[in-house]
Amino acid sequence: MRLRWHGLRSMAPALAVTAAIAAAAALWHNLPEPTDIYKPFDVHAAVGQQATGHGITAIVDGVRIGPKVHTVSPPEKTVQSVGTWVVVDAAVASTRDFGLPRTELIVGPNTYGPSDRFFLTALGAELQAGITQRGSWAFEVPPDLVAAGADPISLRVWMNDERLDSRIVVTIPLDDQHVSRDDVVTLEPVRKAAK
Amino acid sequence: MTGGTGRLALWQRNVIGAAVAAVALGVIIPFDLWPQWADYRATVEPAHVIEPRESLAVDGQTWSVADVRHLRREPRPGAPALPEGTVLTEVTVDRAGVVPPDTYVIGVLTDGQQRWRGESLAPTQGQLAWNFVVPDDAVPTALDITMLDGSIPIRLQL
Repeated sequence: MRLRWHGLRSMAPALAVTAAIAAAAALWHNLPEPTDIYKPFDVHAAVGQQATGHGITAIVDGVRIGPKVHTVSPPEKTVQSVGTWVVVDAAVASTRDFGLPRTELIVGPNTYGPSDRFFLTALGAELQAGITQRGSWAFEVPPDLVAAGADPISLRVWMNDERLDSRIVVTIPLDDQHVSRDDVVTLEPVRKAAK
Repeated sequence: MTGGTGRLALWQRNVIGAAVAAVALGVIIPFDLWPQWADYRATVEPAHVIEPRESLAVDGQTWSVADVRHLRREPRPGAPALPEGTVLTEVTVDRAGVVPPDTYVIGVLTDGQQRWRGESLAPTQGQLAWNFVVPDDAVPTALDITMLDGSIPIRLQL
């Protein structure tokens, strides 16, 4: 009995080291990715619901889908999509600082940035504290991903750098209540107003 | 040494470990952490604050507020109308002295809670001027002379 206890005591350091190395290896293989470490804090909202994050507020009024977008402010033009246009009508404001609003649209497995073909008409200009910008972002996406009955899409909005900051996420069901579908979608110029 | 085994006593090993940790912190804090913290603080706290109607010489240049105007309409012909519920604040700053070449500054208006970036007006000899579109219920209290890296070398109280 004494011999067995002595043998166990002599093996204890080796067992402890083995356990520590195994635990370290398990931890090493399960470390969070940098994108997880620095990921933004999502603020979820529905269509028509005001979402307020750290330094930014936004509301999505509705979504219009169609193959053509017509801009009414100079230069007036109609732009045909190679897929289809998803135009998100929204209002966005900074509550504290100046900065550029950023956005992306999650459609199915894909992420789309706003089209730069409506640079002068769409949302995207610098925000100033307390002054709301109301307008639209236009995204060019494959038509089948936004067909009636397809999975909901999500709009993400943040200001400047999203890392470790608020990011507003608005889920948009693709039903008739939230989405209108036309051959030509009109893009109104951005309107600014203080709250 | 204990018992002639060649191993240091526990307290000796602890002292050595503590000394190594102290040296490591002594290097990391002043050469890595502190500069990053100082860079951040420079974007929050102005290096120099100039009281209203006073001037101050900083690095060979003398700064003071020359004029502040609050306008309900855009005075420039052809410029777009002001957004609803906003006013235009024009701030003109006197800057006397030798300006180092390639020095670009941004005018940022603040009320202590909110910040607005100015649109730079054509500078004249010895003066800088900015236009700010701000909500009409805002009460700006200072103009921050801001560098491109976000640091604030001078705050001019209005």
